[in-house]
Amino acid sequence: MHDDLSDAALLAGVATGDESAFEELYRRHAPWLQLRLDRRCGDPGAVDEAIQDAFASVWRSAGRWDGRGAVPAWLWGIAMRRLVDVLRHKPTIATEELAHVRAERRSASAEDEALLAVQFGDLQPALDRLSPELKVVVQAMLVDGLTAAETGRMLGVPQGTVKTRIRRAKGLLREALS
Amino acid sequence: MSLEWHVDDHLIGAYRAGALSLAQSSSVETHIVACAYCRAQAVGFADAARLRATYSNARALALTPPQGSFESGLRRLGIGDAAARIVRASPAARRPWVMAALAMSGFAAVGGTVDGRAATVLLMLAPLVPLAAVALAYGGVVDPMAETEAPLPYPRLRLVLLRALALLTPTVVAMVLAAALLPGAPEPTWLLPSLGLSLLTLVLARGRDPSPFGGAVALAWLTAVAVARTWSGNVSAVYSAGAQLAFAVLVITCCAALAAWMRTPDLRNLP
Repeated sequence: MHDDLSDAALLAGVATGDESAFEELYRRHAPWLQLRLDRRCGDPGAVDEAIQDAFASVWRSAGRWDGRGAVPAWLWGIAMRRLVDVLRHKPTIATEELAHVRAERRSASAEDEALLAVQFGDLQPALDRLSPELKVVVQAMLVDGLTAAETGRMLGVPQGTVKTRIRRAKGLLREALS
Repeated sequence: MSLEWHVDDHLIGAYRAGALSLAQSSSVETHIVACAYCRAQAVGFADAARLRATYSNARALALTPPQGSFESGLRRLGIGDAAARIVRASPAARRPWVMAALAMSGFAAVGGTVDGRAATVLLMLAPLVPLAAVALAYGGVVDPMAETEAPLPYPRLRLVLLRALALLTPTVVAMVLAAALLPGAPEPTWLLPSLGLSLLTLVLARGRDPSPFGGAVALAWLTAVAVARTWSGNVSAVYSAGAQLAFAVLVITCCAALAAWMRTPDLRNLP
């Protein structure tokens, strides 16, 4: 019965405690979140727990969504961070702060946008030539929108190492574009 | 926004199988976030059984009343939302307060009216109250969370320890408060033995149902009391300074062992 509502309208419903809006939001977004998180983590149990925690958080904090950006990107930001939490048994972000998860990529500088705006067309060979350790950092920060600190926690490496790797990766990508 | 292309079934199948390069899979991902049509297509590629189970878990978590200070305390200790709620949903979660307060009021009331002998007997029984709380931690037969818990990947040891902590802490706090506030309550000499016996039970159980181990530890304690009585003619020997020191060592050792287990990431294969 909520088929025709926008995601934002569903969130507004969830904020007022409307369970059917919650169900519809889940029906729309849990499948692709599951597919994508499965590509990030080989343990389906951990992925399911991340999705479960993410939607439970959404239920509690839907009213605090600031309405900027798109709902799917916001949901992804929450779900991906919940996955890091599950994998690290440590909260990276408190429920109270969920409202501030920007739908946009948080680390997105103009340059990051430019690097990704090519929709990977020109970048494709350069991206695929990156070493595995650089690939995973590019994926976490540029594609998934995690911060350097969150990426470091997920990978179990110091934040400084993450920053060094992302600098190297961006250098290589820039070279490929020029 | 009009997008020139959509992710077709072949591409999304390859994506799910991990057959795409980073550039290709990232393109698929950025497209899906932006395209409602492709998000709808993704439904056919997700695991429907997992989605159903996850939904009922998410709903149960969401509809659990807002957390209390105990839960946010757990969160501050680095314990996740889900774990905190599981702990709170433990069937026995609200019992230990009542049990401990009643036990201590009983001790106080009886201790105040009867002679030293009966008071001593009660004092010997005091450490068994927190022990019982710990032994009940596994949940017993009727567990409303059992169904929602099953799909969670929480290692059983972690779960049992979290629950035990959730039951032990309020029990001991309630006993200490009752002992401090009620006139005639026994001296706090029972505190270290209580903690020692409870933690020892958890170490012995190591993730299994702690109730039989709790029973064994309780039996050992009562035996020690009986031995103390026949040897020295005075039961209070189990509360002597030396015994207190031994219990302190026991508490520290058990805490260290449990903390080490909690930190070990791969606990799932333990019994």
